[in-house]
Amino acid sequence: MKPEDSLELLRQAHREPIDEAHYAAVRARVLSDIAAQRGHPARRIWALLSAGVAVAALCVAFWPRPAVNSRPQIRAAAAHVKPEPPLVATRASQAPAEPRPQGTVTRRRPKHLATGVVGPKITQPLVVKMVTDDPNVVIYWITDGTGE
Amino acid sequence: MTLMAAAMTFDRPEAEPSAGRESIAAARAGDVAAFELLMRQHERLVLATALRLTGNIEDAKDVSQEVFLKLYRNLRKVDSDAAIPAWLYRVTVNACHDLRRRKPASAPVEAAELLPAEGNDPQASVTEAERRRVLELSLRLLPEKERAALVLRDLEGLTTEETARALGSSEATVRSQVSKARVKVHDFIERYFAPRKRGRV
Repeated sequence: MKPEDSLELLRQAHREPIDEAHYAAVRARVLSDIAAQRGHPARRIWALLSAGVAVAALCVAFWPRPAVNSRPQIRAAAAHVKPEPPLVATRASQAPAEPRPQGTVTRRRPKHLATGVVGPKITQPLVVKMVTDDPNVVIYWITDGTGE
Repeated sequence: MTLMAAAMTFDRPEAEPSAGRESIAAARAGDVAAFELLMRQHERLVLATALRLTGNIEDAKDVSQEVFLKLYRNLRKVDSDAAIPAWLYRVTVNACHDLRRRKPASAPVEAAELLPAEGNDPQASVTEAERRRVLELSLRLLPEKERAALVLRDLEGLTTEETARALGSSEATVRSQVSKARVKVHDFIERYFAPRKRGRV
């Protein structure tokens, strides 16, 4: 068999008609898809229209109406009354705490010096004689003016 | 013009070119009946090409549906009615390629020697069913690009230039692909009929 014969064999097979039912099936599928696509905009328009109507109804229902005369007066009066500030807040605002000194060192004086009470001033040395059981032993304790 | 001539060489009658112009104008204006007429004019081109490229009629029908829906959406982009066949070939090849990527071919082709030839003589009287079988198997044997080149160039009868345009490749590439495909197909057909010939000898 020659190569041309092989090709001719294939061409003959390719020329054989395809069943008409297949063409009809493709056509039907395409046309139904197109119909579905064309249906979409109409449905969208209906949806948009109904949404628009719903929004309009809501606007009409909740639109702010013209105000009554007494209302602004009450509001104005209420605006002038100052609410009494709470107690805690008042104290805090009237007596602000002094800032604590930072970085300073305080030195306390001793009590006896701070009060100004001073003990008897010892100028002469104090001699204390202590007698023991033994008549031969006598202890003398001599202190200076500071008591040491 | 070769494309139109190729489309008219087969069994299905084609409409007059003037009728084509009118129907495309009406279809562009949104006339569904005109689009149906346009589909009837080109449905053989699309379905037969898709059938050779996919290898089965159900996939070919899916591809055809996709291609015609694309045509419907892009009618305004197609310059003239003469440009429609070239546009359809290109879109059909691409749709088949996309389908093959989504759904790889299932069964690989069997060894040609193991396939029993049903006809008595390949050159004299090969039955219609056997011819179809040989065509289907030999195309399944080819790589995707070679198959597309052979189908458009040798079976659909496009020129090398038109085939290259439809496949988006150069003429040199198409020539090379067609040449390789022809050799492979011829080898396959010879091996397919060889057992029967040997039996007769």
